[in-house]
Amino acid sequence: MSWTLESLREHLQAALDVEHATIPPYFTAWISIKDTTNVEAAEIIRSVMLEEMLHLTLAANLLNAVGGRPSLTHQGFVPRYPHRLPFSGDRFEINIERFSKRALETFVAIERPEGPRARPEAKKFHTIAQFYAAVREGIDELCERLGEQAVFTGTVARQVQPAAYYAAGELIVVTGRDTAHRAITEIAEQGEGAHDSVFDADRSICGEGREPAHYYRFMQLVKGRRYREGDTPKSGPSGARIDVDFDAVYPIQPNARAHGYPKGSQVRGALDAFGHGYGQLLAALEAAFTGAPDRMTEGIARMFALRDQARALMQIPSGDGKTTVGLDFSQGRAVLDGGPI
Amino acid sequence: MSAPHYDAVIVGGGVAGALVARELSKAGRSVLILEAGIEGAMNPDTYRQYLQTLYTEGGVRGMPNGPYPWNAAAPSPGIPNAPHPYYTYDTTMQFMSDYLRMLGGTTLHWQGTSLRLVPNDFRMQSTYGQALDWPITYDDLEPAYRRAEAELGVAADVEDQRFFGVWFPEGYVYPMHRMPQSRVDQFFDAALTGKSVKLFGGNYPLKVISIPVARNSTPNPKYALGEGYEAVPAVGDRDQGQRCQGNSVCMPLCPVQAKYSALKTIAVLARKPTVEIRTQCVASKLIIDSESGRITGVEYKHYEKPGGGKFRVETAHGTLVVLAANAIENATLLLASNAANSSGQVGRNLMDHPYLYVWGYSPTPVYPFRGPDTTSGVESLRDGRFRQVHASFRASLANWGWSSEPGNQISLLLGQQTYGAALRRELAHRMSRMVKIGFMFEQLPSPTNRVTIDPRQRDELGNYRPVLSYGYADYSLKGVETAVKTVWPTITKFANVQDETVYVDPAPGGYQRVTYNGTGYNLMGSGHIVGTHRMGSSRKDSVTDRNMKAWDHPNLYVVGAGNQVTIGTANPTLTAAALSIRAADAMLKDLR
Amino acid sequence: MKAIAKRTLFLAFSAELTGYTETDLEGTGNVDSFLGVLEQQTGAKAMTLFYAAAAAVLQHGSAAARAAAIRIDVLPSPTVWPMCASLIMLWYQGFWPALAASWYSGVGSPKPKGWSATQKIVPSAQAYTAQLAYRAAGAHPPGANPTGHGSWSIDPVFGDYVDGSTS
Repeated sequence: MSWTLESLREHLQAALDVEHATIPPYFTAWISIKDTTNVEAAEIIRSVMLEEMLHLTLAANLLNAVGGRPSLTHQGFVPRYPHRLPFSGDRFEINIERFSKRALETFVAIERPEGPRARPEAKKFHTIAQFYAAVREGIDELCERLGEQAVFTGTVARQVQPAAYYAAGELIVVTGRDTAHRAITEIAEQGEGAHDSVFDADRSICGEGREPAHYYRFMQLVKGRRYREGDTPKSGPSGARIDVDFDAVYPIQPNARAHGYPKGSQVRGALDAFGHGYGQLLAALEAAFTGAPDRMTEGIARMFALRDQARALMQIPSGDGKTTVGLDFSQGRAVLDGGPI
Repeated sequence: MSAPHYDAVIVGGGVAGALVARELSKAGRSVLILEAGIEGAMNPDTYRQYLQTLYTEGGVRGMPNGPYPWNAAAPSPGIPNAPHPYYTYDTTMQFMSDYLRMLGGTTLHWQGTSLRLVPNDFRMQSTYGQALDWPITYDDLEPAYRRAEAELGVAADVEDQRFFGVWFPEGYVYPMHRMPQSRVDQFFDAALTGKSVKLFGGNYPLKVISIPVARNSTPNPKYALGEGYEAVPAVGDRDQGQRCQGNSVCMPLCPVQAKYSALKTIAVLARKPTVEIRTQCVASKLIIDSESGRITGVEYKHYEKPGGGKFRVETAHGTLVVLAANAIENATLLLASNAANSSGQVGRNLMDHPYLYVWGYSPTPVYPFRGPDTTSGVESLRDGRFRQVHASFRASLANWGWSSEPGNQISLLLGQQTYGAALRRELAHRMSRMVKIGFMFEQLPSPTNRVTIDPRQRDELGNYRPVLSYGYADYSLKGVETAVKTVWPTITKFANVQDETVYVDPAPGGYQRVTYNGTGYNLMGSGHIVGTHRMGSSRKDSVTDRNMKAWDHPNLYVVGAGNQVTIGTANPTLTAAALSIRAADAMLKDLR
Repeated sequence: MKAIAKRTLFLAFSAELTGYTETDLEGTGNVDSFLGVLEQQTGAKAMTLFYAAAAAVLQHGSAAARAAAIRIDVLPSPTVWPMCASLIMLWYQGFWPALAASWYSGVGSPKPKGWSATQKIVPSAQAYTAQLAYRAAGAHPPGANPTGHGSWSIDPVFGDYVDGSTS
């Protein structure tokens, strides 16, 4: 297919949607782990979630760089869960659910690396990385045809700067083809590892060794062992044992729906407030991505507030005597559509 | 059998010892660190355990050593529920500051405030006719300050910090941008900009300035001539601690290690083959060759369990011996060994910053109880002609409301049988407007403020416990009076703050009551322990030379805040770190 | 009274006493733990009075009627009000403050094991981290539930001040 600037921007916005879509599930699984238990599992899920936020921001930088305008507040940006990723071959659904064997299997599937023979092909992908590989080809093709300057028309002022993002990983300011390639490589390798490697390229931090790519980080929980230097995809992990206790989690309802509770009830109010807060978070991030970087502070404050709200929702009985309420992220849409809560 | 021999044996695994070890090992030298306390917080599981203790002990907030366990083999002052106090006294006035004997040391519980001394702090005698001049100047120490700021990871903007002659080389920026300013800071800044207060010698501006802190904030891309800076995360967890999240328990323990502690330096040291770190080894005596004065060995007591009184005596040998165990422990060890004291100054000139709170209500909400304990202060009274007659002081703006709150207000309201929605509303109304200022006063060196030892005062291992003599001179108390009776009323007037300060008698726990000119004040300590082995230009009135080397022993260095001749109004850790780096430079010359 | 009825009464009355909703209280995860502390620290005799007072208050539909009932039946009670005050402190600050020796002799119940006049019982880390005292002010307990880097430089994004209704 022949790329246009328009189709490139559409794909990059789709990338934003996709990177975002995995965040509520990771967030939910992370918060569902009871404090002081499953320390390694909590750290691993949280670290992957933070890197998805990095990917989201990288995608915003890419889109801004090619003259697009990142949107986090349009109808459908927050998917309805269970959700199938747009080009995942429809093999699995992602749920808003507690940390569990099933959730872990889903996470592994989300992050599965591309096989060596997979060819990049827009509109028909098996993995997120294949999608990005196609986007990279699209950028190259457009630069070839129109010249680099005609492609990268965005102002640097819209780029989220490295200092603003602060978990592990490098936030790249995108100003041209080379930095665009680096941003895409960063996303792909953090997710799936450099080809044939458990680790993403060479990000050794403070001399503490490299971090495995997301897929392998989750595999550590499946296999019950950490990867260490020298391990390969074939050999499997040979490091320290990791114990997982699936019982030490809050028994939340999967894919909770606020409208399943009576209007005016306290639980409905709490769920609506959570969704409303999530909508406000996305609005703050969108503002930060589109010329108001100061709104990032508000975004961060809302993220932290949502953690506490989520933990509360995970302890409120749902009424069936077994489960607790859980999370509904989709109510954010009601706010963003301007409708009543 | 020959015992292993190190280039340097360092007594103390806190920030001073860690920085010396870092400089020496970078140059390929072999180092042994003897830490009296346990590994403790170095172990991530133990760290998490201390955090749980913080919660289950009801926060023990404001109690610096709250979550840390009593260690009878290496006791620390101020451990909750300790079977007995660690200090004993020769005076009725108590020394109100604590430290921690554990790997990482007092930087585990410090606030992180990283102020430089101002130039006049180094020349109090020449400028104001008070105390003594240091044998070095601000200019001499400036390069070491920068190196300390690099290792500690200090967050500040140089544009804010150029006052009272504090200068930085062209192009220098701190590793990270200043900590975001709180709503409390913004409130006082708006109220006090352009305002001044009349003190001895003239009108002094009231300026709210961001406090440089060793706490992770946004890295400055211009740092190190554009190389930038990467915030150092928690030891062993790269995804925690890259930014302060506002947990606000720097004291006693940062849950995510956004604040610097010496553990961050030690974690790197521990991976070096030329560095050995031994915990649970309490140095008890320096072995001195009577002819040459050389320290030929450090005798220490190695215990298996922190309690029970059992230990093995061992000796460590180094070309150089470095005492870095903090100002009180360094002095105690020197006195116990009859070392380095031809001047008679070992243990003398013990100084702290007497600390005093004032508090009130702001006219509109400022939303405290969020963020680090303090992010800015009124820094414009740290120097001035008034130092001829009274102490200078800083005024830290508190982000966490009044002391012992919201508990006190809840008790008051419950006492009035206010409950439910009314309680919720009224409590929030009060909390949201609580402002508090902490004044931190300089103290001049005095020979009678001192650490001594007494054979009747020993710990379970038979090591000497410090015996303290301490008091406050008029110089400091006049500063207290000025702060409370002149500066605070000026601030409340300009900020339209409703003053609520009351000093109850008797003073509550953790404070001590002092009366001056008929007014009672409840003072605290600041945890700043300084002066007990001061440097100087003459062996007659100082313990070490300008490079922290003991006059009396050719291979002994005594480093830390104890080297300070005056205390000024800077929290001492950054200065102690700079002095340690400076001392290490001299040690490397010695080792060549 | 059955356990579930006790829990229901305890939760509803706690909401009345604290000014937070039942859902807020459930969200702390401390309902059962705090009921356990109340029972253990006060004894069966006092708990009977507590439940009776709670039921008497909660039978009223309107907030005004409940407030009146509390004014008449709870505040003047030398047995029930101190229990309520300690319970409110437990919810607000995560610790149970001791009831006075005179309270125990007044009720005619023995003091619980380990009782001391100055004790502050923290039943769990979760009691501490879920303290209610800070919430309305848009703040958090020291060392728990941090509000995020830079959050202290802007107005709170949660709490009673957010919609501008309180100043």
